[in-house]
Amino acid sequence: MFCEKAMELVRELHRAPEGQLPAFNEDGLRQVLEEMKALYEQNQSDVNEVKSGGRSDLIPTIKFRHCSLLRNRRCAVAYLYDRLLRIRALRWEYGSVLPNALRFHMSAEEVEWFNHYKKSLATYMRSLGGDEGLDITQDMKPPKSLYIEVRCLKDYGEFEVDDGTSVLLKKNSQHFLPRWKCEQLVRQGVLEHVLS
Amino acid sequence: MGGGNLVRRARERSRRGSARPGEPWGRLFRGRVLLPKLRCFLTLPRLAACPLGCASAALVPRYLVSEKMTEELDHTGQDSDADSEEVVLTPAELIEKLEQAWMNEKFAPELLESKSEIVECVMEQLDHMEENLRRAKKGDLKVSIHRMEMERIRYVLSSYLRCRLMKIEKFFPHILEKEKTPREGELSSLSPEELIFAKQYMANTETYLKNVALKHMPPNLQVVDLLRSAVPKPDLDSYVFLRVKERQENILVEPETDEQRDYVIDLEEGSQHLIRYKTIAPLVASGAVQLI
Repeated sequence: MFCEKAMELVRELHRAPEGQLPAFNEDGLRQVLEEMKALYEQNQSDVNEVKSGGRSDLIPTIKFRHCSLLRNRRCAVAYLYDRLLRIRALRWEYGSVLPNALRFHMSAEEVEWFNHYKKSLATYMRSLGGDEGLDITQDMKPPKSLYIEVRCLKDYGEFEVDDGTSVLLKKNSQHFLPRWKCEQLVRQGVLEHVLS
Repeated sequence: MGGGNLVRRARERSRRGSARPGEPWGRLFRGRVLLPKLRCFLTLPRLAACPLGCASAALVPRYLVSEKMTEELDHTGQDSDADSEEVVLTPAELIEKLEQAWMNEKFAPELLESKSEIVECVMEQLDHMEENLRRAKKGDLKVSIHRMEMERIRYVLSSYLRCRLMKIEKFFPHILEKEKTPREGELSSLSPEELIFAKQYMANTETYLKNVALKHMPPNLQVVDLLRSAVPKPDLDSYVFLRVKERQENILVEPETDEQRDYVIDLEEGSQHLIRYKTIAPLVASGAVQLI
């Protein structure tokens, strides 16, 4: 039946849990576009026949193929747009630099879209006020205290705090650091917030 | 005797509860007094008399001047300085306005008016506070309390701007369409920077969809009307909770189903309601109700 491949694309995204980005199904998209091309060509020849030969019994078939074409387009655009929304969420979660594993799941055009989005978001944040603007991707949760206890999960190296003292972040070392400095690293997975 | 006096004084102090205005900071942290909400500190009138030094006075910028937005009535190139009103806001009032704008934005289903003047003033305040804190003595308790307040204000501001960005990205075709048509007497719901961001986002998404899929489709299907088909409209019929700040009369409530008829209600000051957003949308814009 028509539109099977398009439905599969949509189902694939529907099955992936919220926020996760499965690999870009280039093959699937290509098959959908080919099906659309075939349907369109069949419709073209039928329309010519109706116009010249007066075979009006072909009209329902033409209408049916047109509906399939619309449905295919709708599924394809929904698939692509939903992936864009998930990629946008990645910028807010991981910051400007995406982990490599995720980058392999994105197509080249998606990477380009992501770069454009990053740039326009950065321009907006810089224009917010003062000289450097306000980084609104920080401060995701209301602050409970000024300093937090963190444990280091991976080796990161030297880390400088506001008043100049630098801290060596080695695996499994615990530190008591100002919250706003650590938030970025906690999101990246380098530090872990220790509660208790 | 001395012991009895001490006990009496301590009981007196704890009975008083929070600090009286003009009381030096030093006494606040001894004895069992409650720490008043930090916002009030900013407007305590006699902080300059604090014996702990002038650092505390420098920590308090007392008044803020913000210009209210005026409508352009004539374009004859006259100097409009004489027309613009200057509203003097204390920092406490400014933060309260920010919090109100934040809550309204969070609970409204559509993008509300852009309050860029509040954003600018708050950013200025934060910069000012940061500068003062840098000059203050190290290790002072006041420094960490003020820093905590700065963090909280920054969180509210960030959350407000994030909420607006999310709504812009969600409803971008409808918002940009509304911006194109000039409206009389209504303020724009986008600040200039947000407008640039929205346009770039739209261009970016359209280019992407065109290059990846639409270019390869049959010629009569290559244009997807984002405004009507692809992106859903904001749901203005969703229900919101609100608290009434100014008494309103004769609000017309439209029927939801065909059997109901429209009826008229009065909103009493201080009352709380659950109502469809569409009915009270203009009241939110004018500030007569507060979404909760």
